Amino acid sequence: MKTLRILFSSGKVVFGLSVFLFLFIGSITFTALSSKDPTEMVGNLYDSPSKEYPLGTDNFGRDVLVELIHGIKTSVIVGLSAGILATLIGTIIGTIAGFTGKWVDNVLNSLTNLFLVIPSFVILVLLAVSLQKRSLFLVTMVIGITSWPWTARAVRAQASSLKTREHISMAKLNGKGNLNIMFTEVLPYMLSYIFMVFVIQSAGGILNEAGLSMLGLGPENTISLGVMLSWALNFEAVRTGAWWAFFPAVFSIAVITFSLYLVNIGMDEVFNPRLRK
Amino acid sequence: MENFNKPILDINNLKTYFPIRRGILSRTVGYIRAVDGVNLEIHQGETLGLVGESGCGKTTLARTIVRLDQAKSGSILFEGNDILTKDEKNIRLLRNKIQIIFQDPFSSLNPRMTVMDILTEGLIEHRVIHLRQKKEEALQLLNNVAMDADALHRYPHEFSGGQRQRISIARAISTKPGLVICDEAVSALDVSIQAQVINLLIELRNEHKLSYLFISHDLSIVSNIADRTAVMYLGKIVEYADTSTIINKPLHPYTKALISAIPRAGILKEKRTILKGDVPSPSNPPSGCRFHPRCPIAEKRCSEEEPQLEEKNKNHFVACHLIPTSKNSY
Repeated sequence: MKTLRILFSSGKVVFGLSVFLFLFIGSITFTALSSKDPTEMVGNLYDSPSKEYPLGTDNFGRDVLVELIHGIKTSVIVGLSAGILATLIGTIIGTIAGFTGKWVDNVLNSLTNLFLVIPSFVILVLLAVSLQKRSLFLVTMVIGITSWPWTARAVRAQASSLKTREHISMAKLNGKGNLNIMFTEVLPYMLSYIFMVFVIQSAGGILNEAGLSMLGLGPENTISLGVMLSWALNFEAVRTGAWWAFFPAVFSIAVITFSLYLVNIGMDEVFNPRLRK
Repeated sequence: MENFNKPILDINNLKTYFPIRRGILSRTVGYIRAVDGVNLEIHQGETLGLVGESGCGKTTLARTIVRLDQAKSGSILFEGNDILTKDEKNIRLLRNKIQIIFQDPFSSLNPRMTVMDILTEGLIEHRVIHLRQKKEEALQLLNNVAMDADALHRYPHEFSGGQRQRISIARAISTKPGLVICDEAVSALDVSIQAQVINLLIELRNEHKLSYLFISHDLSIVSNIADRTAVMYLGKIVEYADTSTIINKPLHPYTKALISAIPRAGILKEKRTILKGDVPSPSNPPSGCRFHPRCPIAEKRCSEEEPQLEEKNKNHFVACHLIPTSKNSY
């Protein structure tokens, strides 16, 4: 409770979180309540913004604003899920490696390093290409599975420094098992850190999804911000000057990731007193 | 001196080395000989003081006894059983019989646990008490170390250093151990608090028939609590005798230097033996007697031949070539 209060005393956290939640909850509420179908063709190719369609229409003559709201929802959900997955895998591998040490650490660390040096976006593309059907779930999994090494490395460093603390020696002497110690003495200390990592991973997940989708490797039969960009790219929106087909999506991606980074920076300042002004 | 019978802890030729690894294949290129052939005995109800400069291996010795560090060779018999040969499962049973109090009361208590949880952690883990008895037991333990009952639901950061060290002590005696290792247990405290905590330790020793291994860099503190004292230098014991003998009739030049470093009224500064230099690296100890580069009385022989711990007087063991063995010692 106290931590939360300190957290919300940071303007950056409050602002970033408000923007993020406004977009996320707003898009969910809209898609749940509104009967407007984003795939319904309401106009012609690239109608410019008008009173009826504030952001104009896209290459199929669909309402860009409705698409955008659906796209935000999809992108954020993909980002958050991929973030959760990457944080989970990274935390498990990092904690075990850092705390256990010895050969376990060597093996897990080599694995992490291996994943770190292979450009993850290449794996992402290869995986996405090789999949027969790319559902939203699969794309999320692919992003989550390729972005954990960074988390693992950071968490490992934390865990291996925590393990030398005397209260952990104490717990060992009290006969606590390793798993028990990891949960009661190591993980609680890293929670704030892990949450920060999760925020960054989610932002990364949104960007990765956009990148993949723009290349045409995103989820099928779904509208996400990246998919919108992909259409705009394929149908020459930039050359024809139909800025409303791509700019709102680009802007949304920027705002969402920026708000998440802002939350992260704010949290860093809260948890790391040296950064406080 | 009281009459002590069988040793509760018997350490024989204990060695704890830490490998120095280099290169991508982590080849072992040498060892840090933190503890290098230590023999010690602690009897039931006795307090053994262990003094030495920082970096001489005192803490490693303590951590080896509780198996936080792995010994390379030698044996540690606790109540007749060798601790070092036990596997993980058996060592867990043994762990509540040997407890340790660390130097830093700020890092040795988990800041996210209440005092009640800290005190009863070991008891509950070893299923000595039921969860229902937790509060009662914790109250009893707090009472033992003269702390109020309202400490029960508070967190370690709400207490001062001395109070925290009392909590550490209460935790250490919670499992009714036979041996408590105090690793610089009072060094982080104010002088006035040090005295309180030492008195508390003495009280508890008499009440619960505890044995202590009392580790400190400060000989004057050790002299207040220890029955016998061992002086350690660079992984080895250099002198070992009754505390009063060590203080009043030290034989080893290193012990003499340590004692002359104790500030005392009436002794002029010029009379003190000031040691030159630092403790050498334990990865590359000097040849012969490890103390010879800093020894004020060293001879040629000292750099060639390693002295063994010998009984120079009755119950007075010294590792030095230049101290004659007294004729009437046997």
